[in-house]
Amino acid sequence: MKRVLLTFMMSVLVCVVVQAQDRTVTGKVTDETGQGLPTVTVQIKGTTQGQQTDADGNYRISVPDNATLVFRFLGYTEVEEVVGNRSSVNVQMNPEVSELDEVVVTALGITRDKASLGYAVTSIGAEDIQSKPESDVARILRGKVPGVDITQTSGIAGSGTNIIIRGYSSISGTNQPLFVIDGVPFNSSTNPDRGYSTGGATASSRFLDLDPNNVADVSVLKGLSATVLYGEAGRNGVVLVTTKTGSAVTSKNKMDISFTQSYFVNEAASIPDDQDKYGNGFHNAASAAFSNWGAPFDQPGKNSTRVSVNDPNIAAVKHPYDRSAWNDELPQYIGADHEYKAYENLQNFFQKGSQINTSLNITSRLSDVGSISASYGFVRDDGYVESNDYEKHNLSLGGRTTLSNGLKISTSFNYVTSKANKPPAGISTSSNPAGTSLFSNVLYTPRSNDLTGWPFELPTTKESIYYRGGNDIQNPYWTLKNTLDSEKINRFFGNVGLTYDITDWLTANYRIGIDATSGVSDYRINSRGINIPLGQYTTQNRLQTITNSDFTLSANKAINSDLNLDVMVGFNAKRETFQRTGVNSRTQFIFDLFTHNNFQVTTASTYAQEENTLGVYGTASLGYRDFLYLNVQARNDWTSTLEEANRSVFYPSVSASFLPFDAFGVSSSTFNFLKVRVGYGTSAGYPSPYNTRSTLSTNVLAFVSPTEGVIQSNSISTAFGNPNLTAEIHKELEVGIEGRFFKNRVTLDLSMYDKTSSDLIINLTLDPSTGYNNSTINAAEINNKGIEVRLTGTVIQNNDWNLSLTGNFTKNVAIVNKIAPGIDQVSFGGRGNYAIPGERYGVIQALPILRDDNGNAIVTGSGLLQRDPNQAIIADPTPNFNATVIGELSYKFLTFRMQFDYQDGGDLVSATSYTLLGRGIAEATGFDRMVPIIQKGVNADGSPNTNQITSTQHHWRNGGVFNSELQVFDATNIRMREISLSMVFPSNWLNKTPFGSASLTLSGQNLWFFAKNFPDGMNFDPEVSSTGVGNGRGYELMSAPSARRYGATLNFTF
Amino acid sequence: MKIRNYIYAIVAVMMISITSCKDQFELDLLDNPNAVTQVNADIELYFNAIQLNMRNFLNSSNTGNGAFAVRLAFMGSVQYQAFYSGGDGGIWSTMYSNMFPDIDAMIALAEPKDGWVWIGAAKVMKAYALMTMVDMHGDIPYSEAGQGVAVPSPIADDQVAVYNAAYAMLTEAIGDLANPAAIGKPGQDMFYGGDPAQWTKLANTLKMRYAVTTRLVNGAGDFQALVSAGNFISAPGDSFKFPYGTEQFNPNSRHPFYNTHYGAPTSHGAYLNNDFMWRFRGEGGAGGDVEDPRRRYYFYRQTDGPGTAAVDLFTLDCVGELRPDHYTDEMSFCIPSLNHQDATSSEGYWGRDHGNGDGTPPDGQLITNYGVYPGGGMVDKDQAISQKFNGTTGAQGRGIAPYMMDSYVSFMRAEMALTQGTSDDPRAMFEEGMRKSIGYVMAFATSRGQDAGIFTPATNEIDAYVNSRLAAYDAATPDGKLDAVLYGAHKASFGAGMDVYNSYRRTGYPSGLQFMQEPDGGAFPRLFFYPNNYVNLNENATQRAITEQVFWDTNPAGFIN
Repeated sequence: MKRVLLTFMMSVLVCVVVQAQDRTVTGKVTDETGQGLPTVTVQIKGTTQGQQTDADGNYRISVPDNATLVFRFLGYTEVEEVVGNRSSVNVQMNPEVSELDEVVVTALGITRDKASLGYAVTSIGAEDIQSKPESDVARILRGKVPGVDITQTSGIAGSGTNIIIRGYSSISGTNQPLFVIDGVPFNSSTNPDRGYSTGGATASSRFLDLDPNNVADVSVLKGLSATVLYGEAGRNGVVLVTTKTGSAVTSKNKMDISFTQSYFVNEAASIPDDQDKYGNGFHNAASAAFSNWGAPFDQPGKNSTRVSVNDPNIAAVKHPYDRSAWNDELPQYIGADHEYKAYENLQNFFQKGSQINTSLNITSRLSDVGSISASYGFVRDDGYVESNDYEKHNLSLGGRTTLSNGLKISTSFNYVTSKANKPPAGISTSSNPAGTSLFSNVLYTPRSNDLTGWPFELPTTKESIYYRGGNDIQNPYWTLKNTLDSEKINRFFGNVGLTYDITDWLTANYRIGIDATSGVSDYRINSRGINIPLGQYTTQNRLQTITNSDFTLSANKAINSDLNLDVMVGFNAKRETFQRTGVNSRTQFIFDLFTHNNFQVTTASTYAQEENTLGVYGTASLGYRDFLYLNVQARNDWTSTLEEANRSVFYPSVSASFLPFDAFGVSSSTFNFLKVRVGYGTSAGYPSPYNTRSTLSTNVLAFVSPTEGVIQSNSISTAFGNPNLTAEIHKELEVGIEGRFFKNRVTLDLSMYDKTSSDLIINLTLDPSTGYNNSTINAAEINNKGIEVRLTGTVIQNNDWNLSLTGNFTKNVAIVNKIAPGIDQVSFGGRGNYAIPGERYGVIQALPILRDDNGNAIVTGSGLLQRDPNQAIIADPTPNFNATVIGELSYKFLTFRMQFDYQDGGDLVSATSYTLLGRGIAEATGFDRMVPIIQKGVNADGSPNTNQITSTQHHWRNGGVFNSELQVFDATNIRMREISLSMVFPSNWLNKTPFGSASLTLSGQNLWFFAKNFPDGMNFDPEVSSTGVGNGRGYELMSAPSARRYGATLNFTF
Repeated sequence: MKIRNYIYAIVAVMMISITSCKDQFELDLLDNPNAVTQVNADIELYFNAIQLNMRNFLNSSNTGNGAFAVRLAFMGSVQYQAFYSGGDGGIWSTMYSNMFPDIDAMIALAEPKDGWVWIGAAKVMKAYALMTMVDMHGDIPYSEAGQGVAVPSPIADDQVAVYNAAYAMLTEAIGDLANPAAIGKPGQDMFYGGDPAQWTKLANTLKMRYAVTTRLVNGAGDFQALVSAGNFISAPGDSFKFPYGTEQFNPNSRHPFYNTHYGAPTSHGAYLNNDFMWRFRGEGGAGGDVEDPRRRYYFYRQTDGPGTAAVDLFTLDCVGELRPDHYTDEMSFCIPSLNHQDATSSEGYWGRDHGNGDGTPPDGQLITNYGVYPGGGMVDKDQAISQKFNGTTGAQGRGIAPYMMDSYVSFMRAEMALTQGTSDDPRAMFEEGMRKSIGYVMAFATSRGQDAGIFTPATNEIDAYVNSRLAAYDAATPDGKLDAVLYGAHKASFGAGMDVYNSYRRTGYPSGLQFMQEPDGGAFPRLFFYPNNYVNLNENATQRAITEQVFWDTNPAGFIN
């Protein structure tokens, strides 16, 4: 490298010599503090001839007459000096990014003065992302960006995260944004191996592969006028991440080394408090029920209990493990008592996990015009249950150089290897789970069962054992020891970019990026369990590749002293391929051996998919005297997922910004800055591949007949291939105001938008009498209206103290305008979410309680609630609004920071809550259960119900377990998202150390939350989503609770 | 170095990347690489799919709604209205979107090749399915069905028209099956081994079924002619049934009854109906008189009876409940036993009463299982051992789904002779139906290696049972005779149920089926709710009340419950 650069230097020198200049100018370049600034490029304007400053900032250059010198240094504002007749030109340079003239990264990595933008962009700096108790970049952003709704699926380490920007606008398509890392699209998909109901919701979202400590900057492009250059891929918003290695930030220092070490504790955050008065049973009598409506603990000898042999004040029952089938293996329980009292089960079942995070970043300026950056990150996250852990290594190398004659080369390479082990987390709606699941049977463990104290397996056969007579619940500890859902990822992503300034106003750029993810997932269930008694072993291999290249030509020219024109045209080719091979084995031979050869029955499957998109785009920005800006953008895409006639989609956008204070010269110390902006953008959405042509379904093993042998078959596919399918069309109008007031101490950034998405592609479920079960058609229309506000204020600002507050506010309303004629609803998300014209997107439907015209429940002859046979809306999972307040108080070298997030409204079907109520475990069920209850309601003839039922029946049969309507809770909640105290060691403490700087941060995440509408003592955290990453929302189905973390981070630079 | 050189270099890099990734520019990626297109379709493979879907369809109708209504299966809901709400969307898609498109596509392929046996057999199945669908739902889409998104909401045709179209299709099928130009026959016909004569017998039998079903509106129709022609299902080998296999996983080819009752310990098998079971232990009222020879083949008891270990108020909480006042003396309650509610005299039959909507206690290893017939399970030899293992016991699932057995035909002939005066001797037909059913069940068990050993009913025991039923028949009024015949059909139809549901609506017999546990169980379904996937997705569809009646049911409202 050095030799090559020397060669270039030589050739430049030769040029310099050959072109024999008239005279020599010398000078010194200094930074804002007056220090000499080395390696500043000093160029003669309009030529390629240049020099660099030396280590002290001095330069010497030969110039012709009337020359103008241009001084460039990355991160600093360019300076032009007319030499005139001077022989010495000294220059002071100032950092480019000042607080007042914010420069933001926009589409395709173009940096722009924020004032010139006609749309909203929110930037988050590295300081808000690194050193957090979380290794998922998306989760770190929660609450920090107005308009962006980020929800985790659960607190399991390595589980997936949903990101929705400005509401849901598609029904069948993804609503997750595009991630672009260092200018290249990044695979951020979530690939569950199985449906959410059998545990798919824990699948990792692949932005987990980013190392938060290597992030330099995140820009979120929210509206369509901001994202149009990305074409349809950008329709859900774009998260632009610049990594430290990708940007290889050039600093003044010859070398920066930064080292970060964190340790966090990781705990389950929502463990319910239980009532301590009644035990396992039904109808106030002790029995081996699923439920906890059994005998009171304080009446030994009554209600099917006996008096403990050890203590006459304690009730006892025959030990549930004393049964003939187990007596040989467990003789200690023959004739034994089991003390019938409250046991601490959940507190023992969940453990304290930990997260260790180590990160090293090195950035070095090369001796000439370039820099190189390397980073290594390591995360080890042990979850709140023993079988959950996540480990990740990130290696990154990036560099950039500007050859002396203008060719710029930048590159970034990243390698990630990770491994996530998770417990199976299938859903449960009040009893045994779908498939197998660690959490479903734990949360409602009857109070009198000694889950921790009892053995979970038979000593020799390893068979799962538990308290039920039929042994039909898998012991949670057996699940913990004998099941695992794991995923290993090896991923490479990187890019090479070339930029050349053809003239001083015309630049050519080419960038190619590759993102290749290979993953192996592994699902293990030993035999001898209850849910899958013969055992299961499923492995899946995936290979996902995105190849993306862009060629652009950009021009920047001042037309006259008032008008400035920026133009760019480009071409983009993106190819995404996906391939999966899966092997599923059943019937384990040797216990605890997981090889496919150790299973009797094995089936395999493969899937392949490829998708290409070609795009041509252009953008033109016209600036008038630095107060009026107009931006026109357009893109045309061609997709491989639609038939030729519908393949091409054109989407334009236009936006403008106006700075009235600058235009009329009225800014004052109270009103510093004001910008009014308006933008209109369009985008498209393509269907997933292979929806336009019908296929023939084939089955190589349809049946094994005792007389005819193996039966194979082919069938017309029940999915109707729709050749007329077209792209979805999204159109959005956005207006905004940005302002700075009171000596720039108060800033406001407000956006409002109105987005209509039409021709939405829906997987239309057809009446089967059409001959098909479903087809993909263009039908629905959704409107999203919303408002986003960010308000910041510096309340106190003096030498030692600084107090600043940031408030974010997000409100989005998504209404389904229409669906195709004759279709009154579309279900999606896999559970009960619906799109219904006139209703909010995603409302939940179920069979409600049967009621008369006055809304009274109509009960049966025995006083029980009944279900109405007609489905109705029972819940709306969309919150009314979300708000965040971030406070930061600093005193000298101490900074204290808190972030509170508030969600107003939004319904949640909470299986944990209604199950713990319905099974008599919740603290709220510790009432006197001997009193019968009359269900409020009327009889079929309209007379008031007077039937008494037991309190068990009232809470069980007339509760949420049997009545969908009673499963819904208002999820309004407030939480302390983050709290931290950090100390930057004063520099005089570090004088005798090798450290340039050092800091210590104590931080916590999700340490406190309160959801006021959940039952007392439930401690319920509604921030979980059991339907996983996708369009489903509003369901918590005992898949796994949320987590909280707290700990410390040490950071050093050298 | 010249600027030009750099431009050349950039262009060169681009050229390299473009030529090395020319895949990148391909936009014709529309054919799914994971499937083949319909030009690859094969007649034989279509026919296999059609057979399996026919099985799925008839299973849904026979062991589903119909069987629940007539107490051949346990119905766990306190109200008919609630139990049937939501409908069974599966049956709609099985027929309309799985089976019919394949039949149509197969016929189109087979016609030019003179594959008339395939065509005839497929038409018989299509006609059978259509008639069954009308029996359950009345008016259904037919003339506008099957046209994809071109007609997204097919209108429902008049049920009489659909029923008659199905009848005409049977006639057509009989012609196709006899077509002298026919070349070849199905290679893997699981019903009839590709024999056109057997398919013809089924077609004629379905015409007889048509005549019986519509007799209240049409009289005897062509029933007499069909009987006289003699070309119908009359021997066990003619019976239309689906034979299951023993393969457990790849794919699971065992009888569904076996999967739920002999498979994984957590899959709680369905409860059987208490009253239905007990009437095999001792038919004819309290105390019972004569044992039904089929009881050890139909039911397998996993326990000796309540009162032994592991049973408490919790697992059988109805023990503490009062017998519903509206139950007749003959009806079992809670525990099938001599006095119908006494744990001490029970013999281990453990099911549930009609309309018991309670939750499921941990009694999966105690409840009475389906036996060897028809599910391929165990024969009951008083073993009293739980069979909730992993699918390794009994006949290992090698059962049958008995859709149209020779015995059912005998009962139909008895009904027609009694009501329409056709030429058969109704008493002889009644006896023949019972003896055919008992004989087949016993032979079936033996053929599956599940001999009852010392519990095998002796000839005199079989005679005693049959004669007791005949004596009751002889003593009865004409209506009572029909009741006796249809009770015989009811007991013979274990594992089916659709035809029993039809005859119950047609005649009100058998009388004395166990009532709903709740006195106000609501109106009995004379038709089923339309499935949700029809009502919600078809704009021409409106949901119905289950008190509506199918066209051939001219009986008054509320005459059965």
